[in-house]
Amino acid sequence: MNKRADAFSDCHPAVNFLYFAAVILVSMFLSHPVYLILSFAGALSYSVRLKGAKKQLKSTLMFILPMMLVVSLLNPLFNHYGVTVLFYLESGPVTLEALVYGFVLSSMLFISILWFGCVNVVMTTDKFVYLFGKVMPAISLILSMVFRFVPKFTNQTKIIRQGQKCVGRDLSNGSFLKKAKYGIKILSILITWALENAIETSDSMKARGYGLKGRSSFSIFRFDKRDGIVSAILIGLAVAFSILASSGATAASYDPMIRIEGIPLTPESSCAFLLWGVFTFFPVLMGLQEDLVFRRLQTKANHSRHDIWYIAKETRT
Amino acid sequence: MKKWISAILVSCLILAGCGSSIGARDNHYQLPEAESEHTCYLTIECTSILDNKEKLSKEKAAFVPEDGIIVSQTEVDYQPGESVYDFLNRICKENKLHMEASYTPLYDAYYIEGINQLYEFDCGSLSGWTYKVNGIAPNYGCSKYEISDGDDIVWSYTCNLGVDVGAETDE
Repeated sequence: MNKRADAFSDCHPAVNFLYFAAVILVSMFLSHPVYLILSFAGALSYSVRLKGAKKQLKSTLMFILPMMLVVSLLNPLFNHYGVTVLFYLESGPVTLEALVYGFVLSSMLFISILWFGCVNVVMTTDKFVYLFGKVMPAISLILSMVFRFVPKFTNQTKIIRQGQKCVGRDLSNGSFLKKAKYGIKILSILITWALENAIETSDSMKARGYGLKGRSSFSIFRFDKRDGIVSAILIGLAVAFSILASSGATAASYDPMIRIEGIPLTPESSCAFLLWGVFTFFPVLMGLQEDLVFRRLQTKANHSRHDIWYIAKETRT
Repeated sequence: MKKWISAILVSCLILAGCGSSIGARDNHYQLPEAESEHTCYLTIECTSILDNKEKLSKEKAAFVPEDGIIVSQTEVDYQPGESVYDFLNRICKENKLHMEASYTPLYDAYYIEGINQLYEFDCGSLSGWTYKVNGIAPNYGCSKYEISDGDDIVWSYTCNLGVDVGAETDE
């Protein structure tokens, strides 16, 4: 899945897991617009880095933005709090506050989806099972299967469809009734495969002694010096941020009046924004730093190769 | 798509500029005087919040009048056949007083969630709006009570399930 080397993905799974847990929880509970914008920018840039700009932007435009619009317009239809009335409906006043809060809510949803997209790429199944396989074998197996469920099914559907196409039973063939018949056939094959696959998976896991004492994992991870440094930085950022954020310098509320504190910037709020910005951009920054080091080493290697060749040539003549 | 969203946001801001601001601060709402022969009395008060200020959520403090009376007892026209809910809804709309209600199909009745930005649960978990007609709290929804001439309707904000405003129901 992960074609490109990414420094943050190579960290210990515990570091990855705790980082994502923290960043998603904060994005879900803090409704301050600056935090949301920073979190959005961090999530988008990281997922573009992981999945490529084209794929990410396509799914963003096709699926998430229309959904976001619907969610943000639904809120003022059902909630009528707020002091600024835009117009009246049969059910009550439509207010600016409810509209803005709808927008905030939908962007929270959107940001969480973006972060979960990154989680899917970074927290691979083997990492998940490595982390939780010992503590709760059954739950971690089920969770890792659930996370893979949709991508695996879409892949298998493609395979089945191609197989059916070869024998002339594709959805693009025949009358409406035939199309429906072929579609149901494909679905039936898919479900049969899924049930069989589930039994095979559990049999195979049992045969390999999954969850027994003394078993090791598919991938072995070591908590090395870099993981220590990274987690120290992240914990430091998180603690400092939570102290600043809980002091109320960056509170935001939308009911009954829109009240956003920390803008214009005060020393406290700008510190909180800066800390949160570094926190959300951490994986991207780490990746960029690694790219930089790699490029420097590469040019160095090229130079030294050149030197040796040059010196060799000199000595020969 | 992004252009669309920003266009919508900008139009919202423009609308907000035109939008009317509602919410009483310290002054009471003045309702227009009664003109027709069908009149009843309306009071909207939240005096019990004054005794429970510590429970009130911070954001809502600006919406509690100093004496706790949002609409002092006023004689108002009603249209024959109107229920207490229809009446309150109409008065609030006409006078730009904020009000939100929700319909419960089970009871086939409306429930008043909030008046003047003061919502249920804003002053403790037992708080909300209750109504009394002629000093008695009916044991059913306000959209089921048809107004008759001279009825004295009082909407009170309770912080303790109606006990503190004398609107206990037997059930």
